[in-house]
Amino acid sequence: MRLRIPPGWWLGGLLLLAVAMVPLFLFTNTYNRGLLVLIVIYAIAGLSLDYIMGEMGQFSFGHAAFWGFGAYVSAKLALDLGISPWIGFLAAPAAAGLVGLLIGYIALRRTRNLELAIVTLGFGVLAWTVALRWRPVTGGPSGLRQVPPPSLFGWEIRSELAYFYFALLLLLGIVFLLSRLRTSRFGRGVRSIHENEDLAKSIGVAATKYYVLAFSFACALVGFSGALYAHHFRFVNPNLLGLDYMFIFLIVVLVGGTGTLWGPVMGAAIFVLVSEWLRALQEYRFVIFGVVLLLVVLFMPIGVFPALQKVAGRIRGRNDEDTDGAPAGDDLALEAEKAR
Amino acid sequence: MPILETSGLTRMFGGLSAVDELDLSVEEGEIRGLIGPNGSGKTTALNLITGYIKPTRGMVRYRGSEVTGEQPHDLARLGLVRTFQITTLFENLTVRDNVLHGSHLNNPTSLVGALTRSKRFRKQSAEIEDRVRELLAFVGLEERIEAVARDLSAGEHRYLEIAIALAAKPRMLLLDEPATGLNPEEAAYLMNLIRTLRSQGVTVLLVEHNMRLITNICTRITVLNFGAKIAEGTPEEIVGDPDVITAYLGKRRGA
Ligand SMILES: Nc1ncnc2c1ncn2[C@@H]1O[C@H](COP(=O)(O)OP(=O)(O)OP(=O)(O)O)[C@@H](O)[C@H]1O
Ligand SMILES: [Mg+2]
Repeated sequence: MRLRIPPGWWLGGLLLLAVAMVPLFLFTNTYNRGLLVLIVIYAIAGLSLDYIMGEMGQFSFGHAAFWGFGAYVSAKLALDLGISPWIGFLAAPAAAGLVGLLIGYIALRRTRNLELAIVTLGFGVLAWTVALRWRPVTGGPSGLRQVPPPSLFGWEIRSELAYFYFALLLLLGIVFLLSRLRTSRFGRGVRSIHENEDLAKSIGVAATKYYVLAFSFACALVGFSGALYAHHFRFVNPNLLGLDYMFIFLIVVLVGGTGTLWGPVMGAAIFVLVSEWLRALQEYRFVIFGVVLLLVVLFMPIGVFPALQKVAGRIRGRNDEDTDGAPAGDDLALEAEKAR
Repeated sequence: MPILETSGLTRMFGGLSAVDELDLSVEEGEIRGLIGPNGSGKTTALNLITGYIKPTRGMVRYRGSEVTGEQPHDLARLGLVRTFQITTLFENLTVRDNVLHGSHLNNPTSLVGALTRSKRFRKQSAEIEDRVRELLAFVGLEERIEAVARDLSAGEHRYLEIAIALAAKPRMLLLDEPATGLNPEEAAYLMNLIRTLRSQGVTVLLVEHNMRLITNICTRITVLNFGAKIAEGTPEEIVGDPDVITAYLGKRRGA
């Protein structure tokens, strides 16, 4: 019996290790280290969008709205009620997940073609408008400031580096849990609906219920990412719910590659670093986003991470065929054999 | 008591009755044939029984309780499982994963167990895995366990479909033209599988076009034409029935 670590874990693990070491050497000032935090936060948001795109085969135009919503919830609790950010980190995903449950229930009840995309688009516009207009609660266009950072044993996680490692740890935990979720009964149910809904129903998968839950889970995850954002950058404003971030998360997923766990992590790193490099072109960001999306879809439709996996697979030779096969390949079977 | 019963089951599509006042009664342990010319309503009847479409009127009873209009997945939970006329698999998954995903109803693992990979979870997973192998051996696909479903031959597709359905542990299995696309040997192999299933206590409703196949294997046969039942009886009775002959010949002449 050979202990098999899926190739994704090698690649992803190495990538993460590299990312974890980088700040000590390369990112020497506060501003640059803030970018690292951003990478991790975008990676979590990307992972959750990829859960909708890659695992469910659906699309949500409201993903940034859920992200911003999570950010507002946690910020608001801390500012108005003095509730600890640690509670906020739980309350934000709970609130976003609850709203996701409602939206999913509306959009996924019948067919599952464009309904979710359309309903989430509506939700996104609505949420953004509310954030902009409901001044007494949301602070209007300028949003909320002075959001407190979380503190640990009386010590505030304020420094870029500390927050980065804190968020990185969470990211690792999330990737780990997502990978295990795939081989759970729930994960397999979701996958089977994505693969073939009629067949999934025929063998007893409650398709609507599973999809509503899966969507709600993705919303909770992105809400959590939003809360991480709010307590580090210490402000929230209506932009967080808008198209800018929707584009960003989409690029993160598509550049990295859908249906892979490490893809969005890599996509986030690429996106943040490249857009930093292009900072002078701020004004044209929508043009650039558009062009990037177009190029990715045209030239690397599977994304960077799966492409690397393919190359790695080829280098290792043909005997490792699952390298370029389905990313969700079931290594559980091997584990099960080990357990025997 | 019959395991499955329909009464007055009707489904209209526009002005056309795809299934017309169908009374059907299948006893436990039967292999019931459901035949009829193209477009006579066989698939529609199956869709109505398994909850894929709602009847315009009429009723379905399964094991003594009314299940009209219930969701397919709820019916599957009760042991009523169907296959599809057009080959329907998880095409991008391996043969093993197809049956593994088909084992949804017989997967006792908990979410926490899966996330922590508890000892209990691994044990339960190993049991599911054993059952998957058993099922694949039963349909003769154990050699193809690592193959991706879409790469299988037409015959293998059909066997895999059956293995997936069996993973749900059906009490009653409804098969929609499972022999389509098979050569005579493959079809014979499939019919043998179905016979074995029956001996294991599974009731079968078999939709089939091919008269020869179905008269060989079925205990009783129901014949549909234009959505309505025109004959019912043992294979011998059906083969000699003038209405049935007319329906089939009439169709052929019209085609
Ligand atoms: N969704 C639908 N909308 C409209 N008409 C339909 C629909 N489904 C079936 N029909 C019609 O209902 C009738 C019965 O079709 P059905 O598919 O049940 O026949 P069948 O006996 O399974 O035929 P075959 O042997 O070709 O599979 C046909 O006239 C068909 O055109
Ligand atoms: Mg049919």
